[in-house]
Amino acid sequence: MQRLTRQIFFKQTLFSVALLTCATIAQAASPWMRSEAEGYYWAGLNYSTGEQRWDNSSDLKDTDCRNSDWYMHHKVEYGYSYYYTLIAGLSASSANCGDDSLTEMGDLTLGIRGRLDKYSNGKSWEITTIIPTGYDRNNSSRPGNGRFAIEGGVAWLFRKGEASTSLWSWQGGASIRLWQGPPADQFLSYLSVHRRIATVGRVGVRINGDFSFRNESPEKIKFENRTRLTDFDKLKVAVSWSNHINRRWSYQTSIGHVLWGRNVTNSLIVGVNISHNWNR
Amino acid sequence: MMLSGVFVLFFLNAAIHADEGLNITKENLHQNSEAQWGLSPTSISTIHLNMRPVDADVLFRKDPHDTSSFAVSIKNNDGQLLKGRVKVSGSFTRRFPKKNILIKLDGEQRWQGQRRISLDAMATDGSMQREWLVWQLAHALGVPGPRLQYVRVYINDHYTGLFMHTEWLDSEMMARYKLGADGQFFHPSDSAFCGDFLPHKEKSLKDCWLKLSPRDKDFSPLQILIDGITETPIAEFHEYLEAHFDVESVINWLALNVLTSNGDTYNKNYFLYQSAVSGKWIVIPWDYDLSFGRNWDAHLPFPKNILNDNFQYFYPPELGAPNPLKEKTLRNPLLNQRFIDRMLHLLGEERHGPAATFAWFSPATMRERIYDTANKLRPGRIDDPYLKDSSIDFSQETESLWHYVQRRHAYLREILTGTVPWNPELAIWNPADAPLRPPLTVSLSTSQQIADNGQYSTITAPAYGYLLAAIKLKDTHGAATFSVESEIKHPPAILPPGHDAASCIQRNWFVTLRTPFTSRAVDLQLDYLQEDSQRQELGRGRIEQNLALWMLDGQRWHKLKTHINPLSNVISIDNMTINPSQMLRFVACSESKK
Repeated sequence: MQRLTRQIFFKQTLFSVALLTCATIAQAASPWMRSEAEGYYWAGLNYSTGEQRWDNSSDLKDTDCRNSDWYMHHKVEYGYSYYYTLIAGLSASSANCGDDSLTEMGDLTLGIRGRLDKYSNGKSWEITTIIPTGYDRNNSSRPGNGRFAIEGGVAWLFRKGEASTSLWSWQGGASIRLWQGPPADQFLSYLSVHRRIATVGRVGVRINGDFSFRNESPEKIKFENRTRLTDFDKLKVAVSWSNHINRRWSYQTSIGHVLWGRNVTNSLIVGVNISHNWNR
Repeated sequence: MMLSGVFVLFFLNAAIHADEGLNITKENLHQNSEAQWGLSPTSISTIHLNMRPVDADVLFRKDPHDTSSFAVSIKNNDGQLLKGRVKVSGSFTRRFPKKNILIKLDGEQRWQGQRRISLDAMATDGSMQREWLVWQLAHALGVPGPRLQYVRVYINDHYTGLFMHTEWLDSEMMARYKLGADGQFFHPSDSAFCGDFLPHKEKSLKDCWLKLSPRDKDFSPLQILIDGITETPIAEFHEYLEAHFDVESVINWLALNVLTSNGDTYNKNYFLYQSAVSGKWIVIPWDYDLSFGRNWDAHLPFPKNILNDNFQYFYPPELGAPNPLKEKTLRNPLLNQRFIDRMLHLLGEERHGPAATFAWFSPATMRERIYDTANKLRPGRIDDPYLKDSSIDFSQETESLWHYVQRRHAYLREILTGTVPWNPELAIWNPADAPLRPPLTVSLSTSQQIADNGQYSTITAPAYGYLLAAIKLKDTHGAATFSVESEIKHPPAILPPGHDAASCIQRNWFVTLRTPFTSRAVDLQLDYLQEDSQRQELGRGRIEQNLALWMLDGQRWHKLKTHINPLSNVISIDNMTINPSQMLRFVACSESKK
């Protein structure tokens, strides 16, 4: 159940090539610490589509084509000790809009998570690095920013009692991502609430708020009409349903929509993910 | 546990006496490391653990479901420092402040011959004796199983409490019992509730059982066993058991469960080992914290369904989840007789084995054993930092064990040897098949002669085995006959002044001394019922601590100086005088509801 809660809206779908790239890491921090030697694998597949965008002035405009994008992300977490959890993630994406198309490996993320409260789980800090996987960052059509970044954040989970008995749970996280160069550093955040249905099922609502510091020069890319890589703002809401398949496996389905933005597509996003955990 | 309960009549089973003997291999029992384990009764040793201060700080305070381990060192008897990892163990008990801990030593290091040191916090047993008592008896019967030892645990020189060091069950232990280290070792999965030998179509063996050793995925030996149990008719089951089991281990397992009213087994909480030496299977009992009167409550949500102050001693031998090994053993006439003989031997009713175990479960013996252990545990328990401020009353917990034994002994004696003995052919082997419980309202009465031997005598309702009163004659004027009657689930019809029936125990007790001429000084115990949250006599008040016992002697009410044990639901009155032919009526009411 805790694993399930952790996963709810753990990854958000993306709605353009650049946003896909951002979404690889647009999850802010996660609050859950793994037990020592506990492993966790997560795989998500999301589809997003839209034909409007908010421009650099946050005016909503029609785009020349309807984007149709797929995004896949794999993530592994491992409890190195009671105090530290190691994190690794890898993304791949496929984006199509009119004559433009792209299918490529995205970025690799490596990180570490630690406890803010040594006694309880659900309050953590997290530092991750974003490492491009070798794609050409000078290519105006690329699946990521193509630069290194470091991200630091905090997250928390609040619920009364244990996951199996608490009816409601709240989760939030915020982080700052600093890029090695343009177009902008970022602030990423989310807030979610989940309600237990039946024994282990969970329905949830999550709001993401991602904002650019606008502290570097915007860059143009091929899919410029939909985003400017990390220089964007957006508010997104999604609802989800998650449940256990068995003791070790869980799944989650979600549907969401961007509510407001700047340099982002007004997209509908649907997603499904599975997760598995194990102990050594 | 959802059994037909108190009011099921049990009928006489044909008494077929098997050629029974206690096939105990005691020579195998206490080999190796005896001195180290200190198996003298209730010897308490000390264990010092050293950890990083921050690790020691979080070990018991972290999220209960976290399974992380921490570096630990421990000194052995030679002063050598052994290194390893320590973590919280257990499942349900993780939610308690005081937690079970497991230490795994690095490499081939050993402490008292063990690479793993399992320390049970006994958090769910306020008396801290249930496992200890069961294994004392189990070892006396020759049951292969872990050695136990009370230990005072210090972490970084801070007293962490009293724990039970329980030997790790593994192939090494089996080898110590000369059963071979390379046998097939299985344990029902704790959370699946299907390790019961039933042919579950919807679940695989791997869902229901864990294979402990050898570390392979071959469940075929277990499948063959289940098929054999399923296919063998009851009439031939004694032959099957003789051929495939250490029969004594099965009989002893059942006897231990029945004596202690342990219903938390038969689909979990035991081990199965197929000896590579003999090729036979052995049952090893496990986990007796929900026994000795403690009762699972189907009507309460988790965790109150387990952590409650219900009390029962009146469930019949078929108690517990369906299990064909249990059912066929108890329904096979020859095996049933071995079981009955074992029970009567342990109860002290008939000798069917060695003197060491005869009357092991008699109230007098058990009282001495329980209080002796409690006295030895008390200092370590008083200082226990996790129990100091808890609401657990150690004296009440100890007394409730003794009350349980008194009552269970009387109940079993009645249903095994009384006028209407327990008949396995009339038993309900699957609690799901049990009919709705009949209305509780009933009046039970009997007369019985009480000896002036300074011991409590239990007076039970014929056929039911249900305790109506326990009386101890305090004088030496010879035996006396008493009539007792309990109107169960009856609101008191007559009340002491200032009380209303709803704030009283829903029962009337009547006691009459039938022996003429001489008044008698007695200690008296009266019971009330709290079998579960639905079936109880607590009345509106439900405040057991504020209960007071009133006695109507025919003319006026007397408030008696009373001791209440809310765990065992026993009201005790010491040093009262009863006059001949005077019917005394008793009611118990909550004083807070005046």
